[in-house]
Amino acid sequence: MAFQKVCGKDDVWEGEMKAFTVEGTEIVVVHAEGGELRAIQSICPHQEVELVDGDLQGAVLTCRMHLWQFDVLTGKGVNPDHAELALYPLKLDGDDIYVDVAGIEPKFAKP
Amino acid sequence: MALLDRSEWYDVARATNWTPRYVTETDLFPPDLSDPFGLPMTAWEAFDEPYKVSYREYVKVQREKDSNAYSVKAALSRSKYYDSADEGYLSLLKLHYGAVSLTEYQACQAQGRMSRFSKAPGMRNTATFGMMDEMRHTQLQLFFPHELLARDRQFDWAHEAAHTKNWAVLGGRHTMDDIMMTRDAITTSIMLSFAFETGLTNLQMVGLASDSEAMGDFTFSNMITSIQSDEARHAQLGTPSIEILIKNGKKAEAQKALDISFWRVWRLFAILTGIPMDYYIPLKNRHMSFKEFMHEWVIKQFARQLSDIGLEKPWYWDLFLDDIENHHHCQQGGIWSWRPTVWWNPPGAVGPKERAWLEQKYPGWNDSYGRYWDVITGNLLDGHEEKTHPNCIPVICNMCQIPVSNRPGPKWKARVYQLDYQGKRFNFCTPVCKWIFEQEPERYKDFETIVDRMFSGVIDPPTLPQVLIYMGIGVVSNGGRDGYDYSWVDGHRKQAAE
Repeated sequence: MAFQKVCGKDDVWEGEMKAFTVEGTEIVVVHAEGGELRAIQSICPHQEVELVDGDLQGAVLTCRMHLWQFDVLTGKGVNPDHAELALYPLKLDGDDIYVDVAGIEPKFAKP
Repeated sequence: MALLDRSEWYDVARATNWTPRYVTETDLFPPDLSDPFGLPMTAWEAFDEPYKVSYREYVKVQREKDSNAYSVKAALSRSKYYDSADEGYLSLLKLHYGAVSLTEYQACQAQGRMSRFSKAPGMRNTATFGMMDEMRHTQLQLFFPHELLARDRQFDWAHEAAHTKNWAVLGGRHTMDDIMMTRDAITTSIMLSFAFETGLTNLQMVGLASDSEAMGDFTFSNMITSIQSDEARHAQLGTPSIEILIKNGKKAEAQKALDISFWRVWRLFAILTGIPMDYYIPLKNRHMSFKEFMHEWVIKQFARQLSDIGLEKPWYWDLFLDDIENHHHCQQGGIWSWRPTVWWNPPGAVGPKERAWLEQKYPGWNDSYGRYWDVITGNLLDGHEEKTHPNCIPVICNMCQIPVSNRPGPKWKARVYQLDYQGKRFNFCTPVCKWIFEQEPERYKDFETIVDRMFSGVIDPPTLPQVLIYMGIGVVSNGGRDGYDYSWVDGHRKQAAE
């Protein structure tokens, strides 16, 4: 497995996120304020709720269901801080976004 | 004025244990209310709630949530949604409100006791927020159905159910009193926060929000999501408790508390969630069966969470998996047959298409539960509605307070598990309910089931009209009827004609 084209850069505007399926793996491409792009696991490490329905402010993603918060740039939990998101390698080729999902599993955290 | 970041002061502010000088530690924290496991104060000071919030943050966030929820509620008075809502779906709502609204208030009291009696400062702090969360959940779930009272008096059970002795209420109250009203702070955190909230109801609420969204009821879905958004805070109370108990050599005690409460809540949960998912929600709006929901959400997540915190699956795991295939199908049959005794209008909803769906989701359904409905359908087709009302009294489980039943048909599984204790015979639906009784017979032995009350003189005279009045039927509102007025039989009538 290697990098697969997911979408164009214009498909996910700054401050937005979008869900995609890459080789059977659900991911969310996040375009944080400031222009940084990340590919994160699609479900919350808490109770598997879809993160794409959450709220993105700056680089902090808040899950809609129980308000767990994550820094999308590092994947680290903001609150609670023991949780963490899996990040998938992402690269830009021109205006195209490529993601490699090989060997990376979603992370879960103690409730 | 610049504010310190929460992380810079949180640990200091939370360290609120002190050494009592005017009373003994046992007077301050009586073991029966606080910690019967005998761990020292210092062990509990290690309690760390992972999801942290300051009072300032709490007020800000809750205010925003409430203003959203209340503006949705304001729109409800102008909404025409409920005028044409499906009667099966309305049954789901009535069952939910009657079972849940004031149970949230009980949870508020349970949080209050944890915030007073726990030796863990972190637990006291989190439970204080939890207490306010549960108060909010009570208020929302009374305020929303109140709007619906004018159209349907059965919604009054949101407030009244807990003040009645309806058989379904007795079952819920017996469990809730057991796991959150009569336990010490530590056991409550395992039974209520971990087994009940994390294990079952938080997942159920996520499913419920998406079901109501699929039904186009955005008001209810919004309310449920708003409630659920509070849960990360107080539902986390159990995890640190369990970890501290395990670390201090009390794993068996933590495991037992989990085993008792998970089963007790499961027996109710299957009725509250399983029946609506597989029978009340119209076929075209069902996105998964209850069994699929249990396997995809509850079983997978709960098993992972248990192993993450160092506990085992409950000893009755195989019985639990079997109960997922049977319990709610039995109770759908029972509740429908005794429909005049409940405060919602349970639809039979087993027309030819629904039966095909049930057979596909639960292979063997037609040859077991289908046979029960064959008799009912036959009576309705022959114009003998009166024969669909049973003339007998069910045997009630002395633990879960639910009629004893199990799979009918060739693979007959229905039987009662009995125990003689102090000259009295006790009946149980499963080996698990019997096991729970055996752990502490003195705790449970004096409770009279609804049927016991018919024989002991509590319900006098023990006639059907008097039993119904005792249960609040015809007092709070009318009792139930078939939600679709038997229209689901039409499909069978057509089939018979062809």
